[in-house]
Amino acid sequence: MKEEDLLIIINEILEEDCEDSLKELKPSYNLREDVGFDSLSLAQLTVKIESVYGIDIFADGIINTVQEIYDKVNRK
Amino acid sequence: MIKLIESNNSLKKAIMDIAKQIDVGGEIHFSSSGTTGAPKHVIHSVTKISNYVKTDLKAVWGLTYDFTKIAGVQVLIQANSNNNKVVNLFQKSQTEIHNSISEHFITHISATPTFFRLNFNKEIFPLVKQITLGGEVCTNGVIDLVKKVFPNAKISNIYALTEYGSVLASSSEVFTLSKRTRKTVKIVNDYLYVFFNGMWNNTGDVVELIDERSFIIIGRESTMINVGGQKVNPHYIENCINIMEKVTHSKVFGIKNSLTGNIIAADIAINGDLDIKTIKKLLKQILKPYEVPRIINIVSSIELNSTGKISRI
Repeated sequence: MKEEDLLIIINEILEEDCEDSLKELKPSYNLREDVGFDSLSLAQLTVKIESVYGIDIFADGIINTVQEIYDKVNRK
Repeated sequence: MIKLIESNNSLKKAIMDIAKQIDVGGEIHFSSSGTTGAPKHVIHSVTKISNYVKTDLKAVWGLTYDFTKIAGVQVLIQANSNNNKVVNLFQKSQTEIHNSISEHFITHISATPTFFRLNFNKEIFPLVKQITLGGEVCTNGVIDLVKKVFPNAKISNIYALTEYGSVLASSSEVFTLSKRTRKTVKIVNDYLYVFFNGMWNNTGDVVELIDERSFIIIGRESTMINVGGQKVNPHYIENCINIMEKVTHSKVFGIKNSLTGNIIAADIAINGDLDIKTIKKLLKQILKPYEVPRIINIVSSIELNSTGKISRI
C-alpha cells in the first residue's frame, strides 16, 4: 500500500462526510486527531481497506496512526 | 373453481393444479418465506383456511404471490370459494402489471409492501376496491403510496405467520389489540407472542409500543443490526431512503468489522441523477450517526427472494 492509495481511500470517506479532503498523509498522522475520524469513520476505513487488501487492520487491536496502517497492510 | 388469466401454458397448468387441490380440499404443504433463514415446512388444511373466506362473487384478483407459498394459496382459496377470476401478476413486469389491472378490471390485490414500492409511483387505478398488504413490515410510507395509486380501495395491513395464518389486521402501520385478539396475541419485552399449538410462541418479531394496546412491528430480531451496541432497524432506514426522490428501492444491511461489530451499508436503486454524497447528507438530517449507511452502492436492481421480499440472507 502506498501513500496515494491510502489517501484516496481516506479522502473518499472525508468527502462523503462533507469534510475537507487531505492534500497529504504523513505517517505520523493520528487517525482521530489529525485525520478527524470518529469510530464509525474508522470502521468504514477498515471495511474499505479489507475489501481492497484483504486485511482487517483492527483485527489485533486498535490502530492510531497512518504508519500503523502501512505496517499492517504491507506486512502481509 | 377459479377462472385463471395466464398466457404461459405450463404456468397456467401449474396454478390450476393447485386450484384443483384446493377444490378437492384436504391438506396443502408449504414452505415459509425463509426471509431470515432456511425455509420451514408447514402443512395447512384447506378447510381451516377456508373458514376465513369472505363472500365476494364479483371480485377479480391480482395474484402477486408465488402460488406454491401460503400467501398465494390463500388468495386462490378465497377466489376459488367465490368462483372469481384470478389474473397472475407474479414476477410480471411493471408494464404487464399495470396493463393487467386495467384490462381485466382487477378489484383485489394482495401483495407485499415491496411489490407496491417496486411497481407503482404516480399511476392511478380507481377501480381497485381492496388492497391487502402482508408478508413484511409495512410502513406508513407504503400505505400513503397505496392510498394515492388506489384511491377507492380499502386498505388492510395484515400480520400473519405461515404456521398460524392471519393474526392481526390494521388500516395503517399501527396494530391495536382488541379484547378478542388479546387472547392469542401479547407483547413481552417488546417481542410479539402468538398463542397456538397449546402454547405462547415468540414470533421473533420486535415491536415498538405506542401504548399498552397499540404497537408498530419494526422487524425481526434477527434482522436488527448491532452497531457498537446500538440496534439498528434496517426497515426503518430503507423507509427513510425510499421516500427520497429518484430512489426506486433500497436494501440496508450490516457489514462486519472488528471495531464496531457492524457498520450500516445500503444498496440503492435510483431512477435519475442522485449521488452518494447527497444521499448521505439527507440521511444525516433524519438518522442517528450510527444509522447512516457508511457504505452506499448505487445498483441497477435489488435481489428479491421467492416470496417477493428483499433477500436478507
